[in-house]
Amino acid sequence: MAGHPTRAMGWRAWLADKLFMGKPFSEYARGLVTPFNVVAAMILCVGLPVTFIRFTRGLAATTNLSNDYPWGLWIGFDVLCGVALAAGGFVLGSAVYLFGLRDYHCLVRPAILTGFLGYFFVVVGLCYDLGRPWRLPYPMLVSYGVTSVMFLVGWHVALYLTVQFLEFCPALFEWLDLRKLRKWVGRLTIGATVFGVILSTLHQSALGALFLLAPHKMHPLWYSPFIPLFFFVSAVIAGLAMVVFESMLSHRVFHHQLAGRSPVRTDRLVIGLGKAASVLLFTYFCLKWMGVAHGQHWDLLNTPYGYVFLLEVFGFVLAPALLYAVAVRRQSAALVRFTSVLVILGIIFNRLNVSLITFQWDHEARYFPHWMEFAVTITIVTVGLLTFRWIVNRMPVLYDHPDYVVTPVAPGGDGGPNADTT
Amino acid sequence: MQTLHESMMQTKTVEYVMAVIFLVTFILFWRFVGRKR
Repeated sequence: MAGHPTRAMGWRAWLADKLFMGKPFSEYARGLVTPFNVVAAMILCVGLPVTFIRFTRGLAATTNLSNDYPWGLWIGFDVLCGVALAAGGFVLGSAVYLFGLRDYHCLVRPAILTGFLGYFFVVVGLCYDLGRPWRLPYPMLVSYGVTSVMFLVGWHVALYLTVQFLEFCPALFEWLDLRKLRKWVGRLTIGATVFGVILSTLHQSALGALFLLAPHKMHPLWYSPFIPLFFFVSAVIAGLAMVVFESMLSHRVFHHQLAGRSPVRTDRLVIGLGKAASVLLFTYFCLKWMGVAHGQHWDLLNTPYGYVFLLEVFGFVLAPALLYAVAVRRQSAALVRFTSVLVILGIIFNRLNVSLITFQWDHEARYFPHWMEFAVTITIVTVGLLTFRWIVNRMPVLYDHPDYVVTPVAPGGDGGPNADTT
Repeated sequence: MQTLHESMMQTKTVEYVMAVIFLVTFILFWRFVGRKR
């Protein structure tokens, strides 16, 4: 971990210390040659030229999108899956700051960082997909489409991205040793969390509500008037699963930062998250069947698309719910971690089913992404991972900064882990 | 031929029955999850 020298050492030395983690540049550069970085560099070597082609020659040159399929992989995976999997920030934030589950505090910052980066790269992915991405701020500044669900989604994402940045600012200011700003932003924690929960609830469900506009394009087994509720509940589950998954990866990659943390305590927290996820998954399972009953689509279950639906609901919803339950009863953190991977795959499967696989299900012409669409998606995920690692290597995300004391939340909200400095 | 009203009533009946079944199974599931081995 980098030290925290004062700026008296000169801004160049201070900057070098921050960026190169206190190492001489040559040593830092040598440390960059790792298998992961080599693979990432190879991906970027493909992704960056494809990006250039996308923004110079347009969507037609780089995608298989058409008037029948205006939304492809970039919306289906980068946006819909990205937003759902970034829900861990508001789930953990509300659990700790609003419901007082203080034990989970150590998982909040990584969850908020994952959420913030998830949303940031959702916006990046959206810029690839939009025909005129430079008009992204129009709904906020120029054209208020107040009757459009898209307007709602646009505002929510913009506001929530801002809120998540504010929630992450304490770590940033601790790293930069900006004590006054750190103290000021710490006071915003409760307010930001409440605002974030409101925004997340609305826009996770608003993403589902987008599909209410296409009842004849969606397969009846996935279309339901309850789809906003399905999206919200499944996003909360995805958030919990991502927190478990992210903590599992962090323990492998950044174990040197977690030396002081008891594995028994971490396992206990993971099992607690698994317990919450199991109950939510079971609720989601029941809701999905209520959707089928509401639409009277029982006959469609015995069709090829019906088998896909049954695979999704039994294989990626009920099975993980039961696996989590067994894991909780056996107090097996390993089984919770394994099940979380299954849940993440299930959420991706669901979002791709809704937006791609079963969309326009009765059309003969099918959409399959262009290789450049895959290249862009893989590039965005890679850059997201690199950014996460860059931040975690420098800022106090997985550990408490020694110069800042953790104090309990005061009833008035003026306190908390982001409260005061010593 | 089934009228729209009859169809709606049938759907509602199925939904209510399913809701009761799910409520009971949810309580059982909750107890299963909550009890450590």
